[in-house]
Amino acid sequence: MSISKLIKNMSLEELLDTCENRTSPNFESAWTELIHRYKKYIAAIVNSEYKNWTKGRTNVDLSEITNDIISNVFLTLYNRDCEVLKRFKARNNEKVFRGYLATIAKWLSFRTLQKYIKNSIVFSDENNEATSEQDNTFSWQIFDHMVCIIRRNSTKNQKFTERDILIFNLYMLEGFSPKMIETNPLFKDIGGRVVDNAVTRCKNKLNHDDQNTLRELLT
Amino acid sequence: MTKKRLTIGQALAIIDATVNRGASFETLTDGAENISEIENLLKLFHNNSGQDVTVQPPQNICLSESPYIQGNTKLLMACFISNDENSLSEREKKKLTKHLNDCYWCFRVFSQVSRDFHWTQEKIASQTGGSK
Repeated sequence: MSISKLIKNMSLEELLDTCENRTSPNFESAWTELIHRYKKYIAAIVNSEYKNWTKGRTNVDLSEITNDIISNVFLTLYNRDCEVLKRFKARNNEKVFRGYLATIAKWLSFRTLQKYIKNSIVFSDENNEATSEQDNTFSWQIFDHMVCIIRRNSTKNQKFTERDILIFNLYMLEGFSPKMIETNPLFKDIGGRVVDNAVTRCKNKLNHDDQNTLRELLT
Repeated sequence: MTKKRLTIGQALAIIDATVNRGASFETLTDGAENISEIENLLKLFHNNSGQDVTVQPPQNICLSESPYIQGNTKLLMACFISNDENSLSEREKKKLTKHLNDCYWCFRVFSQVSRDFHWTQEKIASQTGGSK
């Protein structure tokens, strides 16, 4: 069997193992295959985030940035001796791996687009408070699952559990910066370190209950 | 020049700047297509000043097409534009926070409104040279 055919037929686990092994003769081909398999999927997520963030908010064409974000998703997996890739534990679970990629892609999109859009915001052409057309099915399942785990791992006496969960969701799922959260009127008067502490507390609770490999989705 | 339509988050930031920071309503809404809607919001804010707003979300999660907080201007105003007479009590804030954790659709609306509110506040602050 030729090398290209061999790599094409690799299971997810084999492909990831080869991508992490720099000494493998198939290292480069494995990365080419990984990019080939998931580039379209990542592009769809990034483009969806791009539309969601820019619709009616900016006159500046930022579409070139989406290509950078897509490349950065793969760079994130590759950099520092594939640290992020190695952290993925559900090695042969295609669905969870796609969730892992989706989270990285969304996170990078939030961080990148936020920087650009903030400086080029215009008043909106249309009402777009409604939920976007992006893949909400996946998002609400993660949302429900996370909230459920954090609540389950909170003691009854914890006064700020619900506040912490909301802060965590805004930070993790919506890409809010700590400043955006601190200045939100609903959290009026919270101190400077509250966001950091709330996010850390919730992350710990999620890590504590990791039966569904949720940590992989939230790294 | 085409007129732009303001989102509810942007409108709330303008009303907040007008009511709490002495910014000029006319300047901030200049060029807005839905200026009359924002004027109505401002009137509603003044009329409701001093009245308690209660949070009464559905028992479970809302329908995706009609989240409880979408279009609930009284609640959004009480939540985002606060002064001594008009703000959500701690109890109501807790109820709202709990619902935003229960209901993904309301959470999405809330985050969108918050995002627009925040960015518009920053834009106004940079234009007027004041802090938020």
